[in-house]
Amino acid sequence: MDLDILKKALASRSGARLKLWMEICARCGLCAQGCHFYQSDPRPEHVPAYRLKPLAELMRRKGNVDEAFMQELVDTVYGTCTMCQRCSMFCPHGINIAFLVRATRALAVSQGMTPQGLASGLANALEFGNNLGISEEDYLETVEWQLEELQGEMPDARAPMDKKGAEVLVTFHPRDIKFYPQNLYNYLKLYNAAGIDFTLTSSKGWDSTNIGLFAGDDPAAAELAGRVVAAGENLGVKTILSAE
Amino acid sequence: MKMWADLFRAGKLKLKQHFHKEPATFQDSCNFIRNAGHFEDSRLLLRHVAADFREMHPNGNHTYCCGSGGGHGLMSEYKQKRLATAKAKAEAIRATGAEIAVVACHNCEDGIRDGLKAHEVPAQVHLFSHYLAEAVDLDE
Repeated sequence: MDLDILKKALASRSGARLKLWMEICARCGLCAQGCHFYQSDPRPEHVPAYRLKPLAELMRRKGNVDEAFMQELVDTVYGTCTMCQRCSMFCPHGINIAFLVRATRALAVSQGMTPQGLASGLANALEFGNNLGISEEDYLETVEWQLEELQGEMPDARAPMDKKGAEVLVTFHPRDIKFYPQNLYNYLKLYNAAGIDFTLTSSKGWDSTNIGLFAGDDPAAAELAGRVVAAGENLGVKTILSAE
Repeated sequence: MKMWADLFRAGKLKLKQHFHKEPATFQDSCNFIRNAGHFEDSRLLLRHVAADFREMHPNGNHTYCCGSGGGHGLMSEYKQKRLATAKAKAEAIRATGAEIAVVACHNCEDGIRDGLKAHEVPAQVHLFSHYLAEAVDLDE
C-alpha cells in the first residue's frame, strides 16, 4: 500500500461529477431492479448502490485505509459489477454508477491491485500489441489463410494490408485470430460482398480491444486506443471499424 | 453493426430474406445498443435475415447484461459469481424458445454461452457477423 499514491489517485478522480453523484445517491435501492446480479441472486451486496460504499468510505477517511479494506473494495467493484449501466436507467437521479465503479477501480489500479485475469491480459496487450500475445507473423498468416479459404467461395475476394487512402480500416479482436479464424472469414466475406474500399493494418493497431478501459487504468487505455488511432491516421482512412 | 446496416440500406450488402429458419433472438449489448444506440440498425438486419425473430423481454436499452462485461470475461477469480448471476439473462432467452441467440459482441458471446450452459438452456450462440455472412447473397 502506498497511501500517497492512493490519495493522489482519489484527488485526481474527485471531479464535480463524481462528488455530485456520490452526494445525491439516496440509497433508495430502485437500482436493484436494474441489476442482473440482484435479479439473479437478490442479496444486499448485489444492489448497485452498494458498489458506491467503498468509495464513500474511502472519501470519508480521506484515503487512510488498509489493505484489507482495499481487497474488499476490489471484490465489490470488480467482482459484482459488469458496468453495463442498466441500473442508471432505474435511478431517479440518473446516477452513472458504472462511472463511479470505474473511478473506484482506478484506485485499486493505483495500488497494483488489478485482478490477475485483467492484469495479465493488459500486460500482454501492452507488450505484444494484443491481449493474447499473438505474433505479427501469426496474425499475417491467419489473414492470408482465411482469405484463401474465402477465395474458394468468392474468387475475387481481397484482404488489402496497409493500403494507404482506403476508406475503412478493419480491426479485430485477438480471439478472432487465435481461436476463431472463421470470424475473419465472415468479416472479409461481408466487406468483399459489399464492395467497400477497406484495408487491414499490420501495425499493433489491428487489435481494437481495450482492457485498460475495463481495468480502470487510464494511461494503459490511452496507449491502446492511441495505437488504433495512429494506424488509422497513418493510412489516411475515414472510418475505423472495431471488432464485431 | 452500423456499417452493415448502412451498406444494407444502400443496397450494397445483399442479404437473403428470411434465410435463417430457426427461431432466433438477439442480445442487445451495452456497447452497441445501450451506449451507441444501434437498436434500429440491428432489427433492420435481423428481421430481414431471420424468418422467426423473437424479442427477449426485457430487450433494447432495458435488456439484461450478458454477464461478461466490464472485464468479467477475463477474471476467472469471479467466474462462479458470473455464472450464478447469468440466470436473469439465461431465463430471458429460455422464455423466447429461440434455438439461436445472436450476439454482436465477443464478451456477450462468452457470457451468454457460459450462462446458457450453466442454466441448461438449449440454444446455440452465433456472432452477428457469422449470422449475416451465411445469409449473404452472392448470386445477385
